[in-house]
Amino acid sequence: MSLVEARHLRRLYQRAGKTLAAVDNVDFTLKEGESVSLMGRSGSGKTTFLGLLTGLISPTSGEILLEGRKLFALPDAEASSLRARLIGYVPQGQSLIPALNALDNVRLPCFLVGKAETEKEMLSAKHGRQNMNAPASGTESISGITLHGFLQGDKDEASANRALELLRAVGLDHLRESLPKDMSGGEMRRVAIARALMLSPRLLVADEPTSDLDEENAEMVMNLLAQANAQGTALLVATHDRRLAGLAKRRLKMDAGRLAAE
Amino acid sequence: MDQAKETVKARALTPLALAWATLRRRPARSGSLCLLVALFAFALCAAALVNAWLKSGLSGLSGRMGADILIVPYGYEKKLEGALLRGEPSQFYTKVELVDKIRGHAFVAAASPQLFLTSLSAGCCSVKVQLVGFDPATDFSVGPWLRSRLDKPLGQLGTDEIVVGALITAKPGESIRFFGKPFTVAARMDRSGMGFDSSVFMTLEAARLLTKEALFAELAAEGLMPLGGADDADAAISSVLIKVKDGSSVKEAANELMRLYAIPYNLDMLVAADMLSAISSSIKNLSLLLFGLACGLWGIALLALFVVFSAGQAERRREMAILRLLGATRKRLALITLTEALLISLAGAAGGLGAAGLLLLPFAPLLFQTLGLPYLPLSCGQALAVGITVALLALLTGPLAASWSALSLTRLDTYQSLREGE
Ligand SMILES: Nc1ncnc2c1ncn2[C@@H]1O[C@H](COP(=O)(O)OP(=O)(O)OP(=O)(O)O)[C@@H](O)[C@H]1O
Ligand SMILES: [Mg+2]
Repeated sequence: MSLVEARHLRRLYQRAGKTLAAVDNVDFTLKEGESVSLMGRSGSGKTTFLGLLTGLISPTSGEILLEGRKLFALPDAEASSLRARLIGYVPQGQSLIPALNALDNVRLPCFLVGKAETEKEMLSAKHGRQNMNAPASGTESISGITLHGFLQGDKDEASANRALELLRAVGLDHLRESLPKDMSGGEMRRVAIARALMLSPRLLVADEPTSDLDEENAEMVMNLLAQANAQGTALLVATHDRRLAGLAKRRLKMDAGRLAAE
Repeated sequence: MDQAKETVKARALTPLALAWATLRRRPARSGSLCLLVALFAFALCAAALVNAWLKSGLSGLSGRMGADILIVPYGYEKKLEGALLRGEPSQFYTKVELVDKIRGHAFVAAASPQLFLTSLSAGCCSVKVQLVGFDPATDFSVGPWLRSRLDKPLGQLGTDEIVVGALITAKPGESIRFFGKPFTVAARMDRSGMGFDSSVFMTLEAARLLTKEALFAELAAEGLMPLGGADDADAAISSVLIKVKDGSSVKEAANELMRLYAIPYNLDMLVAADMLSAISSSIKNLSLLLFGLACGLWGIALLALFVVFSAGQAERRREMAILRLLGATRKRLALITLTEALLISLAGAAGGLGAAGLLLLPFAPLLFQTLGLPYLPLSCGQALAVGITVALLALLTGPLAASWSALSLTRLDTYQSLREGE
């Protein structure tokens, strides 16, 4: 079964009386462990497309399926838990919470969805899969640490240890007490990647993760993404950077809201 | 790597913790919002307290007055008002024969004289005290009130006995000297909120004796000699309290009395209802002013909180979009926003109420004295009711202002702020 599926996806915006199709009739499937790059001019609709896939922007028409379930048909609590469990997102630009230090920024995803919501969502996920005769998956992942796992145990300590481990993996454990305002752009991006990996998602989405970084930092970020993919996490990355796009097995191009193979 | 470095501080990132962290990052902004709420709480507290104080003082006043019309020598009506409301000592005299003449009118239900004396010095008090002599045989005004504390009939009050107001520091059984003459305190009254609280009551006879016997020289030196000197003291009174018969008009009665006696006796009069309505209208104005101020401050606080919490703020919208991206439900975002607003309200309410408690309660008596208004302290229950009401309203301010923002967070498409620079 595909991890993410988009059917006839369309998002229109009204601007100055004119209608603009930021995403125009897109069909897209992404499988477990796959790596996909998304290129395209600025304004071609990449960020809008990623926002639609992760359920943050509602489509004008069309459907999103996560693990085979229609995202926009789910109640908010279940949809939120499903998104958090499945997808780690590295947004375009600065995305750390300014009031929290690096460690707390990385731990944050553990505390945003409630236990009740998650259990309800996972229960209905299993039922759904049974109906489709699909094997249950989703609780277990590469690193073995999941949203559900956190909600079971001592969230405070377990999350702190896991966050520290991730900060170490991105080479920033020495900055764990630092606030975002005291970090460089590259450091913030690496913390954001660690945060995206916090709940061991099955898909890592990154929106132009290297565009505002220097050569060296860009290299580091690329390596981190490649490493996550090598460990089995699917990768979907929007970028202008040919080298980063080159990491992906499948390369797509967005042009005025339309998706095509490169 | 050493072990000590490995231990990490692990606190739960609850909505409360997130809200607190956000507030702490912007101390100036959070502080000024708190201050606004505190100002509102303080103003509202002041308004409610002043209102309650004035109301209780006023109700004490009208209940205690008893008389419909008070007659005084011409030019002394302000003095009498001051003596009644605030216990400002004064003395003035007219002739006792007036009482019987007034009592003779069909529309008069009761008339009773009072004799005022100002003590020069007394063991009890560092300031001058108003001495009030009343006629136990005819009194209908202070008598019923005095009886609430006195354990014998008014008529049995001796010429060496006194009843003291609540602010006079003397216990029953103690002795106080006025003009060198000792008096025994027969009873001490409860607070009334009126001038009576700093007055000393005795029989008319005792007051006359005091006027006559006591220290002419002293009186004369102060220029406080009764009309016609010592020989005339038996005939002197300060004011006549009049109760009009049910069914008769107080206004017409007052006019008739004035027509007959104003010129021959050089009199003026106070109509109790007029005096009370003048006070109550000044009370209304003061309360209105304070409540208006509180309302204005509330509006400002609400507006400021609304602007700061509004989802229209780019930074806030982006932060919410990121939380959403990390899995937060819309309900959780609303909860974080409301918690932040509630924390501001909480700090503001505490500050405002604390300041009100520290500034208003101790200085209220002084304030009321300066304003010339009757003052009665509130009971614990009343003060608590004011405090709780104000606290609730202040606590509500933040969440109320942020609720629009919180509500908009529960709608989809508030999160299109992923694009940088938006
Ligand atoms: N909320 C919105 N209202 C109106 N128009 C919007 C909105 N969001 C996006 N658009 C428009 O949709 C188009 C696609 O925007 P999007 O951010 O998806 O582009 P992008 O490919 O991510 O660009 P970049 O490479 O600069 O990040 C743009 O023309 C943009 O102006
Ligand atoms: Mg973009």
